[in-house]
Amino acid sequence: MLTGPAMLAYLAMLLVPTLAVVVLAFTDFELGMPGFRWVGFDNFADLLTDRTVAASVRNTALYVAIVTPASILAGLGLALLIESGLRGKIVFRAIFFLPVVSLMVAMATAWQYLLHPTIGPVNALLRMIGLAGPNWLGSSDWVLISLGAIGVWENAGFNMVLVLAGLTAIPRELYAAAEVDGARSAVARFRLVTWPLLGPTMLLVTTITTIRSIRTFDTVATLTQGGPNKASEMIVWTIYQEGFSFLRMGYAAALTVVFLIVVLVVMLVQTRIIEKRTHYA
Amino acid sequence: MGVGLGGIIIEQARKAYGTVAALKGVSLTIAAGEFLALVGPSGCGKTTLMRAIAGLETLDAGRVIFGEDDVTARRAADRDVAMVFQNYALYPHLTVFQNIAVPLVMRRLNAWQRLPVVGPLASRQARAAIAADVRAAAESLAIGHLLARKPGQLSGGQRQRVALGRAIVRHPRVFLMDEPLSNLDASLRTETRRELVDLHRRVGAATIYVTHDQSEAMTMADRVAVMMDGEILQVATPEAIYADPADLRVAGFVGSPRINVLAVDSAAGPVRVGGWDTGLVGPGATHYAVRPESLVPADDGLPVRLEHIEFLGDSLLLHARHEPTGAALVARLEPQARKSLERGQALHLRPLHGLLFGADGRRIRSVARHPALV
Repeated sequence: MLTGPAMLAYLAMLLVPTLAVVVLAFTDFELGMPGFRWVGFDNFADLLTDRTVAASVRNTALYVAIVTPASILAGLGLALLIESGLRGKIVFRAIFFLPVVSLMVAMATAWQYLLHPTIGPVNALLRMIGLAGPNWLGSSDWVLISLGAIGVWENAGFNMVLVLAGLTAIPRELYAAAEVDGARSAVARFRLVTWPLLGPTMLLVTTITTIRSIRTFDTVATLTQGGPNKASEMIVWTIYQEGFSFLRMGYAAALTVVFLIVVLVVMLVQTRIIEKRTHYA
Repeated sequence: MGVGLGGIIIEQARKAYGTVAALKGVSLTIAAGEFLALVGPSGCGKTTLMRAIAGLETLDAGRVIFGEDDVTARRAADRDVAMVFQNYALYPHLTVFQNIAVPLVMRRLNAWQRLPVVGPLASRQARAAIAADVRAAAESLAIGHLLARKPGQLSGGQRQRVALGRAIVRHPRVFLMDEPLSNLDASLRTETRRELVDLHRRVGAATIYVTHDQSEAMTMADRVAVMMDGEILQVATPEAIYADPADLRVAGFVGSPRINVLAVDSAAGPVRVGGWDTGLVGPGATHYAVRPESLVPADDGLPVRLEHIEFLGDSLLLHARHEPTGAALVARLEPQARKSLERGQALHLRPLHGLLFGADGRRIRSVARHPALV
């Protein structure tokens, strides 16, 4: 009885919309059309042969493989630097957290300028040392790497804040004990104390970063629209295109269902693997 | 230097945190193999002093010398000290075996040999020797059966033994203990006191034991250093600290129930308390202190009224009020004395052994018998 309101909210907010998507996935519903037909698994069968979806999955996987490890390492490195620094902690923390609080859609304009092939400062710098920079966002060889770099910039600050919180939870006495025990170098102390005790934090950071990078949408939508030639086509962008540009709601729903299942499986595997190696103090 | 190879000398150690002085020029000498308790109320600077000896805290001024080595500029890892922390500071992700092995692994293996996978292959012999030493240390502390567990699976007493094991496994030059018993329950604490003393005898290293519990300090140590407000007030054997305190604060800190303190009527002439002549002469004395067991009922002495009688089995505590000054007094008597006493009764308590202190709290030692009483 007492769980009633919470159950109601859960049903209305989460379960009904999700179920609606699952139901839509088995129809040929198109926005603006008078009715719909049940098509069974046709949408899912189409997905398997759809070249756009294949490119989208491949690009997303590559993007996640770039952004997740790089932004976790960057976040960890920044957090350790800030933690060991004597002054300016608050200033540096604010600077690196800026991408998190700023609006990505707005920041994308800045990136578009920075990475512009002719007037962009990045290529201007490269020209100064005698290199011809590529068309970062316009070349199909480079576009995913460029988006990845922006993704790392976006996520590193967020990860840094999480790691900083994890670092403050490590008892100071353990560092004193490590010092007395003869851990002379910073590397030795990191391996003996910091890294193992950051375990739970790193689990959280890895999970969150993976989800955040799989869901990347705003940079694709503002900077490349999946181009050139589908070289930066990513899953959420494809769903958006199918549902809101081509108005094929049934097909977009099927893609969403697959997307959700993939995310769930990735999360489960990750949690299982890391939990085995993580000590909870 | 006079302390031998295993001794410790601290010279004029000073340390301030901002405007707060934690150590105000502390000097202390600990003989080789000695067990010294550093006791004082919390915030008196004893932990700062210990951390400075360990090398975890740098001094603003002064020197720390181990034997003949001036280690003031050396970091903790290079000082060859072992420390037992108040919360034990065990590595929660390592097993008991690995915890005890850490100091040996850090000292005997180089960075390459400590690497996972490759390291063990390159250091098989050294690792076998470490394992043997860890087992020996664990056996000597009766925790050999716990080696595969993690600290989270151990009781407080077991964790404490692991922390001790980690400290003794490499036979350090100096052994430091920071309130190692404060996290144990009362019954385990008394038992562990004896074990720590035994352990110190076996290890033989100069030991500094920090505690706020005067009874721990008195029962365990060869000598006790009483510290207050960043200064060491007295360093002496437990007997001397108790019977012959150099400072009123030391007298008040040691002993339970607390020493009785009465104001002296006048700083000049024979020492009188509430009109009663103590039979002592002490120029400048402002306080007269007497231990509870030095007060006995008598025909003359301090006139008091009994307020409360506590029967403790082996003794009797009389809580009385000194009638002339209104000060509270406690006397410890034999339990048989109970029959002749009742609440509200007026009687005299005669001090058998009084101590005099000046206005600054320092002991007034130029005490002579008052001729009238001889």
